[in-house]
Amino acid sequence: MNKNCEQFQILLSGYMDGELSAEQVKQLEQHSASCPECAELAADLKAVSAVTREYFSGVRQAVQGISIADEVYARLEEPAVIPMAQPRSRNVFMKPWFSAAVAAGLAIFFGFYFFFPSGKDYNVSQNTCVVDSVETRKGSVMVFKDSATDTTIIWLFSAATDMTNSGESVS
Amino acid sequence: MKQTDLCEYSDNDLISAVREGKIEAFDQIVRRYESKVLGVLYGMMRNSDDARDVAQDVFVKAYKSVDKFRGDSKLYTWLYRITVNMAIDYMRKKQKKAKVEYNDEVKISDDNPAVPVDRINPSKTVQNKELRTKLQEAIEQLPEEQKSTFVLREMQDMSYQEIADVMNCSVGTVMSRLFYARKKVRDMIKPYLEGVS
Ligand SMILES: [Zn+2]
Repeated sequence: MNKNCEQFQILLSGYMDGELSAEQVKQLEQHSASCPECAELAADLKAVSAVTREYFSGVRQAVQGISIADEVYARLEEPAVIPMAQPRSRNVFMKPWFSAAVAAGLAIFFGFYFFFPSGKDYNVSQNTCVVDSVETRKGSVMVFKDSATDTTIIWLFSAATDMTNSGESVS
Repeated sequence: MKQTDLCEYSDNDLISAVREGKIEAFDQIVRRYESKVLGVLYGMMRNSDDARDVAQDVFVKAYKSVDKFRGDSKLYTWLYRITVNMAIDYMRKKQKKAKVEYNDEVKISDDNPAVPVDRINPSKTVQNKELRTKLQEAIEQLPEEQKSTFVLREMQDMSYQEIADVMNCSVGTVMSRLFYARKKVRDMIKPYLEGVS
């Protein structure tokens, strides 16, 4: 390879894409006329471009039949996920299924403590609803009210327990 | 605002409507540009599920950062920029993950092509299945910046200046990235290039 070849080869892309100045075109053509190596590379790169464009034209046609607009629209309409620590709309959390689902899910997956005045075991009923929740650096507190038995339940979660996912999956 | 009205809106009108909180205006932008965004992503990634997922992320991100769009560049330039950045990001993360984990990604075969083959109507040259596979492999192995530049040029036929705007680099950088990309692809598919011009 001629020691000057590299400086001409770097121009080859610009040459085939019509992005060179007239002066650059002239220099490159002069060099290629006397350098079979650069002339061959130029022909190869043209062929690469031709083959790629054919392949990409197939890809372009294929994506014409694909739409993601509905999925995107659905994602834009999603309310922002509200972390557990934030104050949130009561109406969702007042629904009995919500607290029942949280209770069932958390009972299985997370370590927690019950504090009851009686100190006895307690079964969360369908009438349980969340009254309030607070999060601190050290952990979370959820207050439930069971209207059937008029019992207040306080759940404490340690900070090590990741609560954010349970809030998302239920909503 | 009806969809039919929105079709006639210019990009800038749609952007203004989105800023006023009209989600349907953004839906119109998605429908207007999804093919372009998907095309670039399908060109850069061999896994069509990945391409679809990233395309969705691109538009969600564009929606959330619509305030950052300044009218001094074209909307599609801005969308391509988000697309390329997210695709590069995604591929780098995936490569990192693949290094530490067993790569269980579905291999592209005729049963599971990156793009449904029945939708592609390749002409004679690329009908050669082996060439197509080699070409996909070659593109996949390009460094991310070269790959993006190569796809923007060969898929979307963008000018060097447009590519430079998208990639935030100089026109000279576009030219050299394209040269090295094409040369690498050529080295991998050289045996198939006989008779192609
Ligand atoms: Zn030479």
